[in-house]
Amino acid sequence: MNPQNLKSILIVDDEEIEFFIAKRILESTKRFSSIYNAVNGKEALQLFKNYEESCKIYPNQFPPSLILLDINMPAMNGFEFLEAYQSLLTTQDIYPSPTVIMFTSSDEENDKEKAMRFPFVKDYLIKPLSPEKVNKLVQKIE
Amino acid sequence: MKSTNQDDKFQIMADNAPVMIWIAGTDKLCYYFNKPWLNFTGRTLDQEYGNGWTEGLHPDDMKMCLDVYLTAFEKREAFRMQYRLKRRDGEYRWILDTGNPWFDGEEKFAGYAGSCIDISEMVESKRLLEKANQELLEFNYRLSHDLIAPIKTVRGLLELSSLSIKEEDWITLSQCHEKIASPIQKLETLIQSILELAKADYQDQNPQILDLSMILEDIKESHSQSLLTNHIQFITELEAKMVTTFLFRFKEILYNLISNSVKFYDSKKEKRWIKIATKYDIRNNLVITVSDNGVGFDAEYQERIFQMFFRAHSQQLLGNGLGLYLVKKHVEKIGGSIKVLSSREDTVFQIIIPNLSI
Repeated sequence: MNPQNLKSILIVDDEEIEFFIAKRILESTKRFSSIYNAVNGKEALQLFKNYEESCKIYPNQFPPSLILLDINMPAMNGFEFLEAYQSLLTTQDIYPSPTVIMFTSSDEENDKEKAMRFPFVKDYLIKPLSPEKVNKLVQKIE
Repeated sequence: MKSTNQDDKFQIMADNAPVMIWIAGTDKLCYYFNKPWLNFTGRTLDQEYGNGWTEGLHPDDMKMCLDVYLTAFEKREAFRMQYRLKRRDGEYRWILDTGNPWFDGEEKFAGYAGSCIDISEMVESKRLLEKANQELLEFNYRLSHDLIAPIKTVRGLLELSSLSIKEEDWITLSQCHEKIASPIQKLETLIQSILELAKADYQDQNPQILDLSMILEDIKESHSQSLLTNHIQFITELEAKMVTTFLFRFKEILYNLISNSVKFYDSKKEKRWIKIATKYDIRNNLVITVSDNGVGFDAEYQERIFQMFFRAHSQQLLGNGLGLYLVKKHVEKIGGSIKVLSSREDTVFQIIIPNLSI
């Protein structure tokens, strides 16, 4: 694969172990150049608010092509992030704007519907992550 | 038995019945209110006459009340409605008003008669019940999520272990093995908190005279290892030394607050401390402040910090969002209050506990 096609992923999850699992499983596909973590919606949003600066500080990571977003997090949860991210997209030029994939332990239909209403949310993955789920995801985004 | 004529009987009944009664004519205007009504509103019959009684209606209920009354009147139908009516002491009370059309001897429509009772206590109980039910629904929802999350983490670690075995990546495999204890520990702590919460609902012994320094010494003792390892100084300034309240709840309040202070110490600070100060206020209530110079939390969370399952910090291992909710529940049960005085630089909680009599 051409290294240019490798994608970077931002995983927004407060659980260090969840990040550890997801990072390692995603790495095994050899499709991603960089996999990094924000511990809640607030931290992730901050990266996009300071878009230019984030591009400079993290030249190989930012902007990510994909965001894996947990729902239940302290400070700013997944839904609060989606709202804030949506309004940021209307006021600020974020290009290319990353695709968001929900990544949660909630299999509530309500949560799924609520998340999929956002045009940039493309999928809803239920934890735990497995190599099979990741392969499907890779096919979908490529 | 003393004989009374028909009118006297009616008068005795109307003035002594435990309900408020009104009568309106065909013109919709009220021309009679019994004694209990006049006693309740503290107004005269002249004042209530016609539409005068509507002056006592709560402004927010006025439109609904007149709509129901006038619509029923036009259709000659019975009605039932609830509204707030000002009592003689100025307090608005919830009233259940039931009105029926009445007809004279020749079956001709003659107006309306109605009776009212004060249902404020019932309305308040219903409100509290609905609130409790809402809280319970939310609790179940959040709880089921928080119970399943660590299980999903364990399953994730198992998935990763299988992958590591397949790829012969023994380092990752051993990391998975190491990490598996943490979600299990979290699940155990959460279940423990749920049990504590269940106790908070039914624990009620008699109030006792409590020695504050003994209780604090106990709590300090149970945190002694963490205090020592993390070099946290435990300071007490006990101007007030005794309080009469419920032992179990009181201890739980202090235990949870102090546990938080111990858990959320600031590793960047060289001198770390937790301070508990007590005094009495002018009403002889016990005022306790629990302060620390730990990591604190953003001021914007001050309102939400006591909410069920709210967590201000990302290190999920440290808290499940039930500690301060539990504290608040205990404080309320013993008639006290709690607030955050400061959450940055120093974190300061102030609790006021009434001194009960035994």
